Amino acid sequence: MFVVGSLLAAGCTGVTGPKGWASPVEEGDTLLVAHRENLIAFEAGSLDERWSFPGSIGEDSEDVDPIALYGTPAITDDAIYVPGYDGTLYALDHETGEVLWLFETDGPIIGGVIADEAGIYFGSSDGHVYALNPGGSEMWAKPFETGGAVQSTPALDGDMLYVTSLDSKLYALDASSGEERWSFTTEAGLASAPIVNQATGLVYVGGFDSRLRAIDLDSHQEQWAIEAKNWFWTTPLVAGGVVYAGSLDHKVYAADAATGQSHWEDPFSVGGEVRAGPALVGGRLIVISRDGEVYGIDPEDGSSSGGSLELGSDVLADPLVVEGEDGPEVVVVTVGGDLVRIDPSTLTEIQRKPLKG
Amino acid sequence: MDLVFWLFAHLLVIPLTNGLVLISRIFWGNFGIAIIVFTLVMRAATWPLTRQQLRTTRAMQTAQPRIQEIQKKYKDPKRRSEETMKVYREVGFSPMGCVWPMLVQFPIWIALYQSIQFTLSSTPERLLDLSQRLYPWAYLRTAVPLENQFLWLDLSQPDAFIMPLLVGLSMWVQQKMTTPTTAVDPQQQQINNMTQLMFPFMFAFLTLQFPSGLALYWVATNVVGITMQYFYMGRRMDWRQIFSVNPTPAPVPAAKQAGGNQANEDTSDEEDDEGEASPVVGEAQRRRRRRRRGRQRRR
Repeated sequence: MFVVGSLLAAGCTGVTGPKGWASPVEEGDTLLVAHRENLIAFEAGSLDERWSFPGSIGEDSEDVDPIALYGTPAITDDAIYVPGYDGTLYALDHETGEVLWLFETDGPIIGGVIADEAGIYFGSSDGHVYALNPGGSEMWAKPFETGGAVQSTPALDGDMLYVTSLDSKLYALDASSGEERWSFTTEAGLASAPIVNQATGLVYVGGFDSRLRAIDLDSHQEQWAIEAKNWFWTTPLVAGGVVYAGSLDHKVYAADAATGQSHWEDPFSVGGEVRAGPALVGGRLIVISRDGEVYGIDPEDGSSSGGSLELGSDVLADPLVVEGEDGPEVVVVTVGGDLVRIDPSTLTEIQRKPLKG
Repeated sequence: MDLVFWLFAHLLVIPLTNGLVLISRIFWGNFGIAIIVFTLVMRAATWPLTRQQLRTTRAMQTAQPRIQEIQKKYKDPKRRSEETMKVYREVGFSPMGCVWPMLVQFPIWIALYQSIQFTLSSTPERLLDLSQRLYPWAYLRTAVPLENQFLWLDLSQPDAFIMPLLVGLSMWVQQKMTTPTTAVDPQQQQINNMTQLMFPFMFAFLTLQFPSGLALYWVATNVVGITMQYFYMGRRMDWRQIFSVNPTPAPVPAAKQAGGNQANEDTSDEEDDEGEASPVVGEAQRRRRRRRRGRQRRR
């Protein structure tokens, strides 16, 4: 009994379900915020709730259970596309949040969705990359198959779609047909989204081999790489000719986008692993570590700028920069379920709103 | 308390987690094989404890006929208990001798459970947690995420049918091999039977809740345990008795009925001579006595 009881106790403390880390997105005067399995539409200024998903979708609501939301939704004129951990892509109505149609895959969807007028692109943990027409039908003859789970948001650049996979590869696909144009193999799984920069002609991608790489779009060869002491799982930020990326080794790195030369004397140290992507706002680099500490960094020299702000809960979702009444604001959703508006110039909280779910 | 958790994590959970990832990397990234190999390594490492447990079990089985005799002979519970303890002392059986090895292994089980949970990384958050528990060695860090698929199993998810069955069955067989199969008191026998069924049922039920990777560990460790037990004392086992759902009390050997103390001394001698004791000493003793008498007559 002792053994069984203790195992149960250990089991209860050890098993935690997926919680989600979808980033907030803004669409016109609507702010879409995800928490666990819920997507809530707020009025941007007042934060009054307009609708939530699932919940206000009528009789079919029992059939809709996204379990958790990790990927950032995509918004087009037609619909809002929400990737669910249940392996389903939900197309929602802008005004009501009702499900217009859904598309099922065979694995959890952890990466985000990217969409334009031509199509909707996303990857699934079933190892496939999907392209759908705005109506929900498949665009390619068949989904593109990778050798591992796809857990990142694809990057669309012109007629090319760049996708990373846990099979250690970066794939460059023809966006209209889904055919592979080229691929680049790294030494470990890739879970962070690639970022394409036409100015340098490079695509940047961080991986579980603890390297942030720049791969030439023409030669398909590695141009440079910087090495951390743990995985890169954030989407890098390219701004002003510099690439910024946080690592799970509790450090933030800055490198010249073209050459890979370190832009700072030393990487900036934070109190926890960095999963949320960095944001550049008002001449200050905002980085949030997993333990919920918000740091202001001078992007030029990597020194602390404006101190830090403790949010009191873990943060795994990318922050969103929005234009507030008094200037730019940073919107953060904590794992604990709070929506926090932060003034990046003073690193102080403007508003905190608990989310349901 | 924090220090205890820290020590538990850094002395057990993290080394075990890294060990599992390392073995998995060596065995072509196959986590199912890694769990099985890991089980073999763990059973080999805890062999001194297992051997002590087996010795205790064997001593208990050796004393079983005499315990039955005492249960028949003495109606007074106090006297019965005294006589039983006396027999236990004589054959070198200590109830704690069975419990200690279990207790020592218990933190390892919990740590292993947590390690499997971390290593399998059933959710993205778990994968993040794993990144903080891996040693800074590229060979390990580039090995994850591991392949969760093994045979028909997704090792990070519970299996609804076959694994609970295998866990329950293997545990039942192992228990039947370990627990004395007979008791004179029908009530005691009923309790024994119930206990032997309760644990396999409970673990089968737990298997429905936990990742099948942990169930694979349980099945593997039970099968290894059964094999060890077979080679350690298997030739003396009554397999028909083990697989019988309602075991009948074994007949008390005549030698024991004739003189319990003498038989007991002989048992101790045999342990000293051969380093092991037999549950069927009565027959061996009779043969030895017959040979001794024959030699005396010839002289």
